[in-house]
Amino acid sequence: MGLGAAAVMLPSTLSAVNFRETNKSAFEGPKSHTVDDAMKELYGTSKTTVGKVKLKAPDIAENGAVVPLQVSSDLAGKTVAIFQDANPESLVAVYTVPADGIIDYKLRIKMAKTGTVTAVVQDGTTLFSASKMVKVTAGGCGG
Amino acid sequence: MAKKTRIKAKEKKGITTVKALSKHAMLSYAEAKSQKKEANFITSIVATVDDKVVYEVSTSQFLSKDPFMQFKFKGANKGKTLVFTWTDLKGTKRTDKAKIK
Amino acid sequence: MLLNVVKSTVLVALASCIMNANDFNVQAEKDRIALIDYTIAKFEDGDKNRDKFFPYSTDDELKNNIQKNVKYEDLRKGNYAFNKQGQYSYNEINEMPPYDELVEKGEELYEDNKALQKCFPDVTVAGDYPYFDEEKKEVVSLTGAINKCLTDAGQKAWNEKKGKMAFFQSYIASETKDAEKKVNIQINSAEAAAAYERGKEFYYTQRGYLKLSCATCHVQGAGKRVRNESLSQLAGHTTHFPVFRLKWGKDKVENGLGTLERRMAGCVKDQGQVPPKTNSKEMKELLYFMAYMSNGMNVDGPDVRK
Repeated sequence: MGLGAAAVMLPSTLSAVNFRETNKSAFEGPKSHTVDDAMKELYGTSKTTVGKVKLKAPDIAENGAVVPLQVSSDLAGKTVAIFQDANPESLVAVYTVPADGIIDYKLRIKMAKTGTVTAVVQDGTTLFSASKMVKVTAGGCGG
Repeated sequence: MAKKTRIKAKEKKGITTVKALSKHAMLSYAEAKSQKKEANFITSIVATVDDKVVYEVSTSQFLSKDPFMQFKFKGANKGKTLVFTWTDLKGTKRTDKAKIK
Repeated sequence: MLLNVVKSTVLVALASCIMNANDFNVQAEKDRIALIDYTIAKFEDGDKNRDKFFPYSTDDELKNNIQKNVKYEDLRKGNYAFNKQGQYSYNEINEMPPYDELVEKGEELYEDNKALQKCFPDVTVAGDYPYFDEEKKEVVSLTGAINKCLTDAGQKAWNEKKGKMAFFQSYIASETKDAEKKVNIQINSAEAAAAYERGKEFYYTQRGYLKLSCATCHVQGAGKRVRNESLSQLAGHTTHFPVFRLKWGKDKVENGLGTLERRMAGCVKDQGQVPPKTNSKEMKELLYFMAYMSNGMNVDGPDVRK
């Protein structure tokens, strides 16, 4: 099921869009493992145009359990999704951008190992993306 | 008994920036298995001002423990109340409010 | 560039003159100023001065990762003062750090405990510890002082490394930081100077099967790497305690905060040695020396590290 239908029905009242229900297969199940598959489950396609999206992340995470990310874009995007390929399932979060919303989100994620984080902004029928590799090491001197 | 979310909300020049730190173990399926506990993590977060949705996100097991989030939205909201609600896999909800300064 | 080093040296020297106008800290002051000068000179331009300070570091590291012209005020940030790769995570996590709720727990511990209120009527004292007790002729650490306060009042002593001790110390540190107070360790007698010297000797003594001294990594080694770890500098080390380490707080946030003693014990273990006991003369004198090296810097605790 593609993203188009859900986005059009976006209400501005309390009942928020819950992608875990509408696009469950993107979060869990056999098609949730690779970034490519999860994107297809969420959008119907995994084809993106690189650009117009800024993704900030550390080059090396101080601790894989707390990796700070920032996604921003000037696009009038409807949804913003974050994927990574370091964990068993690749979809991390899907934001619905409300009216008066600004695409400038920060969050902290956990990554089991070195991987690439991808942020996708859906603008109309085009998917724009940005990716960044984050290295994760086990470390820190001293008990 | 869910613990409270710390929220800092500030409006400057028509843009409100909200920082929120929720308290949740965020146990992924893999972590739950190795710790012999039940997996449970925040699956959705919604924030509203005057019943209007200003932030919503569907989340996975891969947000950090005690997840931090920051978001922004437009509008003259100084003095208004931000209502921040998370729901987790087991259906537990936690709502906290903060005044936008 | 040399002029800047001279300028900062003069400023630092002046600041310390006003603080400690006596004879017993003359050697300590010389040591401290020498350490600051060395540290500032080292991080002025790692790439240009590689032969002098970083003979084994890679091109990539020196050109891209080690920041130039690190300021005195930034030394309290540990390796985040110069390690560009870590700075993004550090700054982002500090926007809403995980220890905020633990500082509040520390505040609650204080408000619920009349004995603590009596021993510490002013909680902005993080920069004054450890101090040399002239009557007992021994160094008193903050951890030791807190436990003595509790046991004198008939209460149970706290674990010296984490938990309530760390929460309460984080409240003290946080209040001291808000009051913008500085590290102000005093050496006012010959015995105090001797205690300082013993702490310094411990710091510079090679030990363990790796024959490492604290200084090997944190004076000569500051800025260099041990595998992936970017070694932090002694100057500013004790300013940010208790420290919240992401690796300690991974499973339970309450375990994330640790006292100076917890950290030093871990470090000595890494050297392949048995660490001195938390309230031992050795540990306290070591902390006395280390804290003196950060004299004049802003108290910056608690803070986040990996």
